[in-house]
Amino acid sequence: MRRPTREPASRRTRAAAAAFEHDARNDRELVHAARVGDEGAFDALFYRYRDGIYRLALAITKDPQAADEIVVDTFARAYRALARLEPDDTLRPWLYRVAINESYDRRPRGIVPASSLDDAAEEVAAGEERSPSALAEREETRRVVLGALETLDEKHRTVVVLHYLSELALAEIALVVGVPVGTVKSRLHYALRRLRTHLSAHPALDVEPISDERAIGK
Amino acid sequence: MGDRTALSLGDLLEVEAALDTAFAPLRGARTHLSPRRVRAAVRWGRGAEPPKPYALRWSGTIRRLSELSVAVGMAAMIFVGALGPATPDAGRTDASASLNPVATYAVSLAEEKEQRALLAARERAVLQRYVPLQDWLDPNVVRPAPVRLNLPAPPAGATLTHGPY
Repeated sequence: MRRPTREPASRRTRAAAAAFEHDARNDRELVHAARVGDEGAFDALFYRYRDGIYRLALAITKDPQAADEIVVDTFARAYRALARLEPDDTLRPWLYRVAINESYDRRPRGIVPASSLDDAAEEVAAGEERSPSALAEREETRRVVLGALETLDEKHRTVVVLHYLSELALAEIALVVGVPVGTVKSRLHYALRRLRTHLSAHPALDVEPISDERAIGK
Repeated sequence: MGDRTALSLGDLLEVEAALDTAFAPLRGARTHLSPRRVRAAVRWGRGAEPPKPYALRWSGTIRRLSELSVAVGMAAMIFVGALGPATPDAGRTDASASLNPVATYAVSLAEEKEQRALLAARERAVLQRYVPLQDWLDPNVVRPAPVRLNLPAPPAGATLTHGPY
């Protein structure tokens, strides 16, 4: 007698995730549905924001295992807070704020080396067809930029990560961080300027000093 | 210097390109967690708000009690102050009285006449004669200094039937 073939668990999980990711309801509707016991609604929220929170936590902690734990803790907090959550349209600012706080709680003190992200970098590099020299240059840029990010203080680093990695708009970053949009802009400008100065100090990157500093140097 | 000036567009694009390169591996990062893991974590008590430390729990109560006692004290002071008898020198204790005795100032008949004359002159808005300073000071506060008036000597043979003024 032939036994029915079963799909592997990972494939079933991926299929479920894809189904939930395409849930047409907005976050407010999903929160209200989850509040009355619709587990599918909570799952849809989870799959919608899982990877974004994971990347954010990974960028701050540089530790994949810690990032996984932060995802779990963030959604556990959301699960417990369902009764009092009242998102407008999106739950993202609330979730990201919790994730950032959890990430900085778990982040080691001082400068964290980016070596734990090398696996992810190798995966990306393996998927591209580039010359070894281009890959080496890219790796050097990545190392220097992540190192420069580590020299920024927490509030400036957070704004850069939210804008350039999580691709949040300035208004949404203001909601996450809890400051006015003007403050977000000034923090971002300060951080970019510091990064630019840091990059120009590395001759291997062939980045010239900032324009007005060039003018002063003449 | 220079942290407040704007980055040029070229500088900005270079930094953004570098950030784009640096974050590229992270953008592809994914996790394979499932919501069941979250539910299990919730069952195990994770995600709960951390309990407030013992000291913090009591500090709120103590703060409320201290605010309440200050408010009650001030209300009592105002109430007693409004109802109680008026005392001339309530703040003066026996100890301070022994250190700074109140100057006694006996008003003589001549001085009383002088004060009346001054009041009458003030009513007429004409200050006719020299006014000793201590007459305008509170004798409870300022010890009067002996004042020597340089009045012209009365003409010979004149009789002083009333005060010098």
